[in-house]
Amino acid sequence: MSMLTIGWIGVGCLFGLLALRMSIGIALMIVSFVGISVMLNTTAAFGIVSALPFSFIGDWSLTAIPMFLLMGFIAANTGLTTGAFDLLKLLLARVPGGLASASVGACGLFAAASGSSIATTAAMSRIAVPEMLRAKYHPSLATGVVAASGTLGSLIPPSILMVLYGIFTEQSIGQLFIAGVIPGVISALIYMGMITIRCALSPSLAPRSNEIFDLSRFFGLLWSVWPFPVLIMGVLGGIFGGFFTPTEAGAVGASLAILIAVLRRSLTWEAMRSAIRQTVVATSSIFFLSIGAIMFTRFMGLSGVPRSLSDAMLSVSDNQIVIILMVAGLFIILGMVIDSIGLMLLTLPVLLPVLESADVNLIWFGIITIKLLEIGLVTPPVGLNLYVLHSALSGKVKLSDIISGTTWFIAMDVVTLFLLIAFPALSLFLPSLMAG
Amino acid sequence: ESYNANHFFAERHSMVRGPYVEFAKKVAEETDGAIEFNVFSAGSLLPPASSLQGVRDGVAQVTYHAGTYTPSELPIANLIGDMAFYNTDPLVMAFASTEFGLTNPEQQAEWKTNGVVYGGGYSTSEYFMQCNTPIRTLEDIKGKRLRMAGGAWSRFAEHVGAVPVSIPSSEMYTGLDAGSLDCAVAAADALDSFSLKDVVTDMNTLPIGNYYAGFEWGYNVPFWQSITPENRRVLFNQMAYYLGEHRIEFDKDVEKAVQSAKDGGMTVVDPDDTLKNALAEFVAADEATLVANAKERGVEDPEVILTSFKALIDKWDALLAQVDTADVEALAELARTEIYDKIDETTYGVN
Amino acid sequence: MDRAFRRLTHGLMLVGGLGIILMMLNITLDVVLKVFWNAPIQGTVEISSYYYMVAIVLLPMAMVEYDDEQISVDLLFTHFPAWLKKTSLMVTFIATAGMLSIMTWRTGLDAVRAFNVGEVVMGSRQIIVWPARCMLPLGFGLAAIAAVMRGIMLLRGLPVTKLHDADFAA
Ligand code: NA
Ligand code: NA
Repeated sequence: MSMLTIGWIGVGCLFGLLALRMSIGIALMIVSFVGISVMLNTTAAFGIVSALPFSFIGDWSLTAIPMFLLMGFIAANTGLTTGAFDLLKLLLARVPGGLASASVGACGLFAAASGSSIATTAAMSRIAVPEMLRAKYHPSLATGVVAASGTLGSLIPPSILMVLYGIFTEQSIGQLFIAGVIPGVISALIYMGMITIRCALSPSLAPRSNEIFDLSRFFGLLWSVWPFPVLIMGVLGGIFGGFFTPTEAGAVGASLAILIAVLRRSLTWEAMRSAIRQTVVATSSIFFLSIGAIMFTRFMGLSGVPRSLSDAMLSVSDNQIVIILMVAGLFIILGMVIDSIGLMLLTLPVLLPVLESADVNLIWFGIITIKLLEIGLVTPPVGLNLYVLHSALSGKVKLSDIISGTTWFIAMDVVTLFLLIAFPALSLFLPSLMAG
Repeated sequence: ESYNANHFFAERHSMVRGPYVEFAKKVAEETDGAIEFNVFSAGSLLPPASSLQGVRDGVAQVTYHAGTYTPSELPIANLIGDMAFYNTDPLVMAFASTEFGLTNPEQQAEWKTNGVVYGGGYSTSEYFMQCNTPIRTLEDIKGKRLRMAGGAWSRFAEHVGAVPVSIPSSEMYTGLDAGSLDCAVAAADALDSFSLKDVVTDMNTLPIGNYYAGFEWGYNVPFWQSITPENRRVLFNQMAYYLGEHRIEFDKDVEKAVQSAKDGGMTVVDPDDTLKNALAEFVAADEATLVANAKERGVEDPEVILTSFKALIDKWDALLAQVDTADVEALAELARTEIYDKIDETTYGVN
Repeated sequence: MDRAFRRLTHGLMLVGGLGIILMMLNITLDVVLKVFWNAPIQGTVEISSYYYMVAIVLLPMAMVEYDDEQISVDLLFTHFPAWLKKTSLMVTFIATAGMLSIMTWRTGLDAVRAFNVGEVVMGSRQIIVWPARCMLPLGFGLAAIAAVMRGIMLLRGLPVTKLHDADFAA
């Protein structure tokens, strides 16, 4: 049996095991372990078990994940963000689904402070989702909007994925960062447009707020929102002012959230205890799944499945647009089962020569790639953003609701993607100003 | 037959392009397909810290390994790798460390203990300070935050009153951009490959060592023993070729990166005497630390090992002065006659 | 037995929680010292990555498994008939215990090897890491036991999932 066949059988087995409600982490580990044993030998399979978990957990940049989770849990448990959303509710009271649109905006803001989609989702989920649920928004909308908008974390700079892409393809990271701004804003606007139209058509999704705009209430709320901008500006200002790196920002943000809660006299033992417990459980379960995901990525790499898929697609045509559309299809399919970084590492070596011979601008292609990898973050079964959100909410919303909620947003991502492909200037205009 | 080759640098890097990608093609041709290496780059097969373990376990049959990741497993290789300031000519260090790795009995025993057959070494180009602020004198460097590769480099930073920061290479860009870092100390191809030229305004050419710890090619033992002696010779010959080739390509990449950064407005300055003297002072003082560290890790006679390595460095310094160092074939010939031809392919790594 | 195990896993979770707070304080203090006094805490990166993070991820793993907090997809599962649910869960527990035992055994060997060579990493300082390695077999091992305990609970007809299906208790 060829390695490729084993790889495909492995993908099939993965779906089978998942259907049994096996934890995703374990299913990925079992398929990878057995798959590598069959393809190479058991020594190699044990080698993967031995090599990956410790070096994966011991990666400094991943420390941002528990720290941003903690910041979000503390903010939520101490009621730190209630004021801000009350204000947004008041301001957007007349707009259908206003709170959901406000969440998109808040995610976009936060994305400018955070380098990772997962950290953005982790931080925003506890801030925004409970507010929407309390306002009787449909759970799938309330969660879908954050799962999807969290992915802006990678498109709006700074972005860990862009750094990796830049290194890999030897493109300017600065140019990639700048190039992501307009596509990020467009993604957010398209999300907001979709929310407004959907909520206008079916008001049951997001009940209209019957709040009446009242100037004295407005000023009262304006005072109560100070923690929210302080927290975000503390994190953003610290990064852009050169006081700390995006990785360190998580810890500083968590400390800041505690400090604010102390100042507001809202920090109780109970709030702190439950924030810590939630952070620990979310971190542990997310990393457990991720260990499985990186083992599976190795299994896929060894089997040659990603390579054979890309080879097959690229042999079809050498037209730029056709190639990019095929790459998009490839990334969406593989993005279901392979984590974003792994997907990039496994496919780019094969894709790059073809892209270069077709004379594709690699900054433009980079933005398209990031957008595609973001879609992979919200597609099951390996869609980390979904699970981050699910565990950040301590299981209060069903995973199936989250998944169905994101489908509308994925559809919008596809629209954005077509715009990005059809109008390269959307990505390349700002970098061209910088270069000129 | 198909085997796995692992390197954690990107496929375009001069240490992967020739010594892995082209190498794999040539080996496949010359062994008539008996050895076909499937190259996994950028850590897509093994994480950087686990390449030694991975090649021992047979996840990969050949791999690159940065020695600094495993100081306890490879005390001798790290002792050698930390000698980065005795002679800062990368070509000399690549050849000298290769001969040392293939012939020194203590070093050979260390490879064996770790379940790997040493194939050949490498060296990065010189490490320079790439900064977002002018660094010309010893005074300028005081209190600056320098991203260091660890070990001897961090000790050097402290010696000159700077603050060593250890962050992953992928964070150099954002650190320099935001200002939480003043300088990245790395081979200057980082200006291109890590896009540092966008954020670096000043580069100082003080050669702060170069990195050559570990190996460019380390083979899995069962794999090595399973192939025929003729095919081992093919590997020897190709490694001899790419030992020189990667040095030339690496320097070319550096030159290109520096030139394009200069065109973008980067200033290149030479160190003044205060900096040069501080480095010389450090090099003299640091040898005691090297010896002490090695003893702590269980190396019996670090002084003897250092002496024999220094002899090799001096030998290669002289030998390489007599050839055209831009001529790949000449370098390959030298590597073959002086190193690889003297090794018996029927016994090396087999017993 | 059940209560003692629960207490143990809960205690380990709290240690993981302590790791979260220590990591936050350590990194924040490092940033503050760097910004105001240019005097970072050497080793912050290595201690955070190898000690705090490993503790945060591994120590609570048994509790996460025991309390059914691991991430899974129940799209199809919820539509299974009761007998198939039970069978699926049993298969899952056995597979989980088996895979985690493999992880425990192998990372245990690694911990022993790391202890024997006195494993260190080189950051700006040399930092000993072998004690961190020991947390892997501990975490995976206890999680394997948690899976076995859940299997026993299933056989005894006790609820083992967070889905509050009435047909399970029966
Ligand atoms: Na971002
Ligand atoms: Na996915």
